[in-house]
Amino acid sequence: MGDLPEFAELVDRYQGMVYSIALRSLGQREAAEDLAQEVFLSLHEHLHGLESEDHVRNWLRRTAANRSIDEIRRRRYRSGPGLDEVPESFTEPGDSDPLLLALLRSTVAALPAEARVLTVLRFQQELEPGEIAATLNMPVATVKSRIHRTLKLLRGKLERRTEARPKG
Amino acid sequence: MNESPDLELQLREALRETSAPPLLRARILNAAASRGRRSSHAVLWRRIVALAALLTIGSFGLYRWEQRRRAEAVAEQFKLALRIAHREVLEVQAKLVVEVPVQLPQTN
Amino acid sequence: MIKKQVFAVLLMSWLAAAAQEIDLRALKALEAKASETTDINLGPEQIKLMMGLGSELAPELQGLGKTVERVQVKTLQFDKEGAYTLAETEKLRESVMTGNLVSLISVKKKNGFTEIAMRKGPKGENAGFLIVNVEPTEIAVVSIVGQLDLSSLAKLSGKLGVPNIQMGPAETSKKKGSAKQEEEELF
Repeated sequence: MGDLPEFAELVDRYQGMVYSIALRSLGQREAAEDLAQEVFLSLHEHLHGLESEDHVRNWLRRTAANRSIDEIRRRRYRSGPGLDEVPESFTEPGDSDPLLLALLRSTVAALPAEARVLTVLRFQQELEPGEIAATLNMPVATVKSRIHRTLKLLRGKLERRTEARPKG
Repeated sequence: MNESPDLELQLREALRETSAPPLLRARILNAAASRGRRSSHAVLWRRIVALAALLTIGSFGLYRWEQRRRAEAVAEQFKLALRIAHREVLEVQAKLVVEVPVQLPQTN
Repeated sequence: MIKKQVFAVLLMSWLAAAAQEIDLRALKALEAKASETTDINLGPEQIKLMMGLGSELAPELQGLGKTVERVQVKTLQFDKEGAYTLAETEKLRESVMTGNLVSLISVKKKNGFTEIAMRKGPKGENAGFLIVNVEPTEIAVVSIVGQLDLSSLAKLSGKLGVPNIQMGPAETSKKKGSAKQEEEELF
């Protein structure tokens, strides 16, 4: 273990990160909690192989991202994709338009598994394309092009929404 | 990558990290403790089973080896008994020929 | 009822096995005086154990293992004469010469005796043999129970470590002890 904090302390520090990756990727609180629990249990088993807190953080992020991809694919295989999995909104305090945020979340939630998790890693975890490529084990160019396509898709959605709003 | 800063800001807001549910921490720690207990029990049982298997196989091997050793000893004793029987008959024959000219009758 | 039958069968088989075993307790007291002893007592269990070696056994031994039920050998060698009295050896004769025996050779001398007898089964069939040879410095008792007679023993010459010497009058007209010397040379 070296100078690593106790397991409980690691849970305290990183449960928000792991849960958030899972929540924004899967779109369901219960599923996100289950996934977060599995990720931390896996950490508990692998803790002896991790040397630093940075290592632990990267390991948790990578495991949460990859398990989220697996879980999305498994659900799609069982019941097919659908927005019914995604709650209408995660209402949170702030100045933002809750309907806009809900639209963005539901659009992200309808993306293919890798693109969805990649978007979460980029815009929630603030990872650079190179870091995302390393985390998801894919080429940097692929990461960049998927981010580009996702933003294009979202922009289109927002534009359609703006056009649909009554003017005045 | 900075082609739509407003959109990216809105996306960051939509996807921003949220705090974990209050009971998640306790749930994770309980599950880890429970799995640790199960794991240590499983390890203990695996060790017991492995030891029992080793003892059984070892005992069986030792038994077979001992049986074989005894069987070989019996075979050697059997052969020694036949040699002694043969020698005694020869001695008696020799003695009888020298002292009393009597021939051994054919049995069967 | 079944228990009684099982007990009776077990008892009879134990008695039969015990009956095959000759009583050599008369030699017990002499063992301490002997300079060299050989003691072999192989019953059905040991012979069965030996047969477990299967094809690793010499073919002759495999054959004998199927027909011989018990092998008993006891030899005592003494450094000097006079280690035992004729009365003691007479006790030995009385204790071993029991059962359905047909005497082939019985020779008494002032310092010993020789007995060779055939064992007969219930139907008069060959059931082994008994040799008791008492000499001034050696006592030997050989008891075989099973289908092995003296001529079959003679056929084992040159096999199983038995010296290759023909048994018969022409070959045995040598001085006493020469057969033993020849055997020792062969070993």
